[in-house]
Amino acid sequence: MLKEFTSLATNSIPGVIKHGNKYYCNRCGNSKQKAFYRDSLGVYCRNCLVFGKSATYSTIKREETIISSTNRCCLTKVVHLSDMQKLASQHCVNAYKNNKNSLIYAVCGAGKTEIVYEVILTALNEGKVVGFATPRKDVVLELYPRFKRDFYQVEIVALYGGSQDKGKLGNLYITTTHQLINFYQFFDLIILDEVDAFPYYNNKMLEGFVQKAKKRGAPIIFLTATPTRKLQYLMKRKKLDYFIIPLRFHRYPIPVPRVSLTTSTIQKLNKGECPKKILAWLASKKQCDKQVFVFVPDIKSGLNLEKILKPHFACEFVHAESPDRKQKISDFRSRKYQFIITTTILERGVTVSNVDVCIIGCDAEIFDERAIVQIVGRAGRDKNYPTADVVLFCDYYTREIKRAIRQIKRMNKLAKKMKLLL
Amino acid sequence: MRECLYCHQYIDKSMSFACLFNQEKAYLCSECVSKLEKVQGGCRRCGKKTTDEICSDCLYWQSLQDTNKYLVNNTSLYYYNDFAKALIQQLKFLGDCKLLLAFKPDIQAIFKKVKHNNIILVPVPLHEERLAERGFNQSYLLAKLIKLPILDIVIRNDNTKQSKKRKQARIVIDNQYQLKEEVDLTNKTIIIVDDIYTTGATIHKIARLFFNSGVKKIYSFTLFRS
Ligand SMILES: [Zn+2]
Ligand SMILES: [Zn+2]
Ligand SMILES: [Zn+2]
Repeated sequence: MLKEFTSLATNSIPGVIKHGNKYYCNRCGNSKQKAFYRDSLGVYCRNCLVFGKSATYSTIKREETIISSTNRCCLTKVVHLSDMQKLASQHCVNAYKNNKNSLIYAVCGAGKTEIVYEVILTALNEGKVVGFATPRKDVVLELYPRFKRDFYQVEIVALYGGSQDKGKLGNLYITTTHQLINFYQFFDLIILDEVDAFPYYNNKMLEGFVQKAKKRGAPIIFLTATPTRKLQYLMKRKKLDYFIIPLRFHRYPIPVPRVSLTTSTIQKLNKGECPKKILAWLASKKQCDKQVFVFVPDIKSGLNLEKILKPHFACEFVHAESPDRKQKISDFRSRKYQFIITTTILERGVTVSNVDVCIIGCDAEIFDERAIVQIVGRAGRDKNYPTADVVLFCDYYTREIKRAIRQIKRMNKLAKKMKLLL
Repeated sequence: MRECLYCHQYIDKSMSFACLFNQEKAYLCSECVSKLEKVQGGCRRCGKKTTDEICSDCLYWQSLQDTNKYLVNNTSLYYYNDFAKALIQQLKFLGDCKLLLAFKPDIQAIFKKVKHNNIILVPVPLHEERLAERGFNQSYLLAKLIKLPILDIVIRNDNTKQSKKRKQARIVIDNQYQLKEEVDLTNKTIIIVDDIYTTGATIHKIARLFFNSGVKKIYSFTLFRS
């Protein structure tokens, strides 16, 4: 039997309130006084303006849930965790019990999602409400069926722009970070996935969303594979409790990318040529029948590359606006063609086993440290094929390339030091 | 450090144009400032970008009986380009009235040259429902930036209360704007203030009200000319 939910009468609270002589935005959590401004009817918040006006004269609805917990939540099957995952999982539970924020820094392919299962169950069984927030809708859509399958007797709500679940009540919410704006002191635990991947809005605004969506003092668990400078700094200064998983689920090291210098790569592509080095590398992949992720900096160079390669190789270009994006990705998974050319939209999440990876024009600004680490993380995910050839084609070494390679080597070294590698 | 009101990037003080020349506080970054296109030349009566001396809009108003007498001329600050549209979007549809501060230096610079005696500013009124949504009337706030006496005596007739008793629809359209009360405006100069001058219809309607009550010098000032 499912739990029963009672919705107390929804009460309205003003969008902006005044505490003493300071304004506070109930919708986005902003308390920076500079971001408030007076108009003819009152004071409004400029921080969350893109979502419509939140002001002293506007109201937001606030729903309160009481969950009568009679049944115990559990998993539908035993989830096997590696030793490292078990430790990380225990770390999360402890952090939650001590009401402490915590960061799980796990390399791509370490199995981050399974790590938080235990802490979610612990909180749910105390009758608490848990939010799992991620910046991208794709991830919400991917996780929802997975959570539905794995959790037993848990009411799961998926929220994203255009979701059918809006207004539905549950005890586990999988939501895009933007949808957190609709919650006010609601969650007892928030798990923030891919904290480094907030491409659209500045982090400050997002921090505000999270702070006011959770109850006062409720802990946050951050998950990341590529911590931002700020998080790295907080870890170094021991200002944030953290746990590092330097190795992958299958306990093989992450492939270290190799750099191959080419000349005026992108300009050549746009003229309809492709540097010989790249063609030779791709040809060698064709010979051994290996699938390849080919990353390009932008749509224009992707289209040009596709035109150049199409006569010789089985390849497809997938970008954010391709209408048949899903189909092309699933065709690649089922090995219907060999090379998938893509922009950074596939840098996270999409996992295909036994692939090689290359970045063309890696000196472009879009390939920063985090993007490169994420892209390299696409390779060698399967325990049956843990190694891969990863090449960064670029005109010159950028600082970001160096940092990314250093980060990967550092994690491999740490894993080795901890005697964790197979 | 101050942030650009529109794009939120930090304003580099040494780069800020307004700072260097006007000793005024800069509200927009140099990049945003460069996207604003100031009105120069164009139509002699309204500033529209054209190679003719008088634009087609103005020719239309002149072709109507009496209309050409209502308005002496219109002054606009900037052309209504894509960036201006984005600003108006944030100002009116998101209700961000702080954005108006961005125009303060240029507005005050323009009005410095104007002889101040006997000038009265008349902001174009806003639909009451809009006012409740938006939280302000942008024309009124614009007028406030100018620091001249404001007379907020024009009312809009097309709000919901009126629409119930609206039986002779055509007359109502003709009387879309009305004066709240009779005021003695002899020897006064009126400047009608609005955010955008599109075809001039609104401004001519209001100018007519004042013309009919005896005001001889009627001008208009708008932020943008489309
Ligand atoms: Zn706000
Ligand atoms: Zn700016
Ligand atoms: Zn004209």
